[in-house]
Amino acid sequence: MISSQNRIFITTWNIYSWKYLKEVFELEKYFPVQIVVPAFSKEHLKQLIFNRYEEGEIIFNNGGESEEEPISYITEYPIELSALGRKISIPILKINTHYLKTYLLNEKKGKEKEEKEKTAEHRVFERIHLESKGNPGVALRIWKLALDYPHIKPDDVGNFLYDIELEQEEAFVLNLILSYQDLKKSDIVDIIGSVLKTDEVLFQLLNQELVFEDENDSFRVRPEALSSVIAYLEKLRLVW
Amino acid sequence: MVDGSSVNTTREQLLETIISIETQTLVNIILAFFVAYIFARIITALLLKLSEKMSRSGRIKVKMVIPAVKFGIYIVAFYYFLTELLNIFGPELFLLTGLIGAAVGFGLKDLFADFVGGVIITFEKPYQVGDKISIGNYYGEVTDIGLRATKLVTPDDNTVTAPNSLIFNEAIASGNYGASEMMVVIDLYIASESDVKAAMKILRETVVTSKYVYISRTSPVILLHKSLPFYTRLRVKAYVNDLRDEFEFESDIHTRAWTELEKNGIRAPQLHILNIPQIGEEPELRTTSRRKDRSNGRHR
Repeated sequence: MISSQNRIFITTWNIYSWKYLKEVFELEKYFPVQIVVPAFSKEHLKQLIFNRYEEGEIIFNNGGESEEEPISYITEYPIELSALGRKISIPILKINTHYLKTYLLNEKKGKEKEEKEKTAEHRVFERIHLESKGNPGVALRIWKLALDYPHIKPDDVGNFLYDIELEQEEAFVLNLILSYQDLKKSDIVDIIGSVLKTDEVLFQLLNQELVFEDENDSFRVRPEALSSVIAYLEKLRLVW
Repeated sequence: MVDGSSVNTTREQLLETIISIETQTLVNIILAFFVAYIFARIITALLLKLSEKMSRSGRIKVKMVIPAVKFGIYIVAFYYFLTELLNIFGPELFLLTGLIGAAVGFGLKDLFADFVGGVIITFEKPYQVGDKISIGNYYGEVTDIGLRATKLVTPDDNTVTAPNSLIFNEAIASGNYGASEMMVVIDLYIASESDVKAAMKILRETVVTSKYVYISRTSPVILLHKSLPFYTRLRVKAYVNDLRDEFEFESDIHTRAWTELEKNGIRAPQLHILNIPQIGEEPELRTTSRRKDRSNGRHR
């Protein structure tokens, strides 16, 4: 266990703040061992989300009642292009292997309804995994946005694309919010040095739906906008 | 060996070719160069637009290819002009080149030098579009490299057109040489009795937290301290993320550093050593004291 060792440890919530501190203060000299928490797999995300519900509580694709499962479907594959500073989606045709296994090979006759639901469930978590890139916070947010309790459909799992256009100061504040995880307005005023300018900056960030104000009056990056924000800030080389 | 009769024949053929140019061919020649010019302008505009949409390093890379593309378009137009419109090949082409050479030697040598300079700039790349360079007495961002001249925009927004032949006579300094980041040297002068360590710490924190700074392993922030007889100079060598923000970066550092330095009791050099009144000191008081001094002198 890390906590049982008599050594100094630091934790960082994201890789970007660590990279900044590493370049500026050469922190890796003093903390030579870094443990990077790997991204969640699709199965881990499924487990994380299902832990919040009872078994059978969530119904995928209307429980296989009305909609036919397709043999093939198009899934949007998100890619962050830091050279252009935006996230794009590439449509990829995928074969519905779950459906083919069940219905063409007649493996589980009489259980079509359950299998239809299983197929829809597979597609929902495939979309969430692709969109969140294994980030549990982002995955939970995408799940919540797509969920029409107790129903959820694969087609409702969003494909979040943002066309970000910011001034230098706005991009800088967005970078700070990303690196600090959350920032209060008073902190931003201290950094910028002007209440009026802070209001202008926050208006732009809120208006473009890149940040939100949480219950503690702190501004945070919207989880669903995270990958677009990172691509944009990478383009400006504010994060690397 | 080429004997005299064959040279004469070729010369006659060339003259015949040039004399036999019809009005239609002349129109075609003008049209060909006009199309090449328009095409080069369109391609340049498109590439510039694309480059502005890209990341800072991508912007410079895209702009780098613009002079080569323009040069290529004009070469193709010139080749088309010689071969398709004038039907000049082989020995005729050789002779025409000789004629052009003679014309260049007599009257157009400066233009030719500019053209050769343009070719060298395109391929050797002493600077590129997007670079900040010093050429002659001018400093600014290169916005266009043409066949004859290079255009740069100075910090006070003057567009300077410098002939390409300047590269043969003048030393050229490129601040970034193809990179989007550029080193900026910023000097701050503080009073000699100041706490230099505290001042250096404040200055470093100011630089690394600037919204304009670019820090990487190859682009570190360097602080230098030099004690001079009447003041102490603090020098920062840091990279600005986008070379276009060079002066904003400097201004940002000065503004924020001085706010913090003053909070910590670190002042600018006092000019009393040179008998220059300090800011805020009442001029009347000083005048009065001087008068008093004078009157005291008289009484003495």
